[in-house]
Amino acid sequence: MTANSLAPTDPEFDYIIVGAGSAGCVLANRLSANGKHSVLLLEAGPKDSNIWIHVPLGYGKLFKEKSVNWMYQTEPEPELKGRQVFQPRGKTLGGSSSINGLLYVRGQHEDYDRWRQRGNTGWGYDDVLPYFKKAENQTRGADQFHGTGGPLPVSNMV
Amino acid sequence: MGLFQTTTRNGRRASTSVAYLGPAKGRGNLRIETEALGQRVLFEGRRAVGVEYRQGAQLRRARARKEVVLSSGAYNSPQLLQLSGVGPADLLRKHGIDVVLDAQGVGHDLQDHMQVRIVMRCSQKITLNDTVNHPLRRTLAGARYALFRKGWLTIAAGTAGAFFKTNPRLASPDVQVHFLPFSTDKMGERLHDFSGFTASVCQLRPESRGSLRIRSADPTVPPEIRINYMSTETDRTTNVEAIKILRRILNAPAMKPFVVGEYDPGAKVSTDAELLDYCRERGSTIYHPTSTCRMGNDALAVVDQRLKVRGLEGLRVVDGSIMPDLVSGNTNAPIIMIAEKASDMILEDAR
Repeated sequence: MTANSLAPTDPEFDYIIVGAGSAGCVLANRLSANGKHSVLLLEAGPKDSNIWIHVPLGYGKLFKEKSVNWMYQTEPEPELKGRQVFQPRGKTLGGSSSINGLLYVRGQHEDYDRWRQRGNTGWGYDDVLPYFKKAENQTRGADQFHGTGGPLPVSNMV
Repeated sequence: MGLFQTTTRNGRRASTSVAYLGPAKGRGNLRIETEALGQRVLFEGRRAVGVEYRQGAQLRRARARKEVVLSSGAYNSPQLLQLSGVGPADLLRKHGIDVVLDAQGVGHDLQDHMQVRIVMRCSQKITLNDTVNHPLRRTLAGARYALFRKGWLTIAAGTAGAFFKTNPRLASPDVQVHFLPFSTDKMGERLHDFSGFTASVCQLRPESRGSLRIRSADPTVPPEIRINYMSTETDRTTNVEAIKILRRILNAPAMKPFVVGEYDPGAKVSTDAELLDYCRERGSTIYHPTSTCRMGNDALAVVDQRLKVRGLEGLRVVDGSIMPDLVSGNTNAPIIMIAEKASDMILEDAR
């Protein structure tokens, strides 16, 4: 047994998800839903208990809040006069979905069709649309493009 | 042009933690560990078998019987792969990391949306600036939110948006506009003391590509991020043309009742060369990094169409880093879609 390997006493799970962000929280829910698989979800940041996370306009307060934000910087950007560009990224349960601008925008159907045309079978617009709908709880109601039974509320601004 | 929808419920943010983790937290088969920083994926040969992570002073390990899934985002997923010995071999060796797989594509092809903002002086005291800078209005806005979950505190990063083409021959819009009912010299800093609002342009399909490389074998050291914004002629021209079109929108007759004039960059910036200089001087991000662990079939693609890391077993990447290229819009909804689709594939493969 070397220092680099697992010990028999280490805990075991079926799946280990590294990062409880916009994607990791979805995975943790779906992979644990049928009760057959054990899941460990690791998050570098703290619980999402900062009150500004839950107030939409609070993103302004979290923009440089290092307790929940990685606060990365780019290297000096050659075409931007050597300036470094600040890169806020969520570091808490929910990841950047806990600190972002909350906009629900899917992109263009051409984006996904281009992915498919580049050889990514299964990722064309018709392939991904069902998953946008599955995620969604659209307050305007369901239609050909929108779903209402999913976990993610999508609302008009009040 | 239209009003944006948001990931909110009754005036509160619906992060994926609220929407997905909340309902799952009580499950006996789901364990959530916070303040647990992934140090590296553990391999037996080319099979991922577990993860080493640091929680406070404790270095811990856990075994994955089926799979390890990295969903740490476009910066931290490739960083963690490189720290684990999966990445460009020369880079890994330079930092004394044993090479599990020489994968030149890990951290390659980083993309982001750049944002260039125009600030307008508003002729009516209807902007967030007016509320924030007025103690009574500010208090009322706070009370309105506390009581009814309505009003200014429910505002997202953009209330209205628009998509347009800088060239009529394009098949679909190449620029997105975000309208913000407030203004500031720099995002994250205090709002102007005059009535103001902001509109920004964002080139949707930049050609520029950057990279992400570890700076150290220490997982707590931030990676080296190069986006190379505006590094192609198309990207520079598109930004300049986009600002010109946005200016036409902001000076349209319908805007007249609300507009005093342009505050930033202002009339002193008008030629193409001056506009490009303004983009260089003030351009920033709209926070959409992707494509550092790109899906595809070519030599630099990191994951396959089932989001499995090519050349390894038991390891997937599921987040914005797998986008073959950046989508023409905000990235959060597509990333949630990617995770939904990946969940189905993982459960299918478990059968």
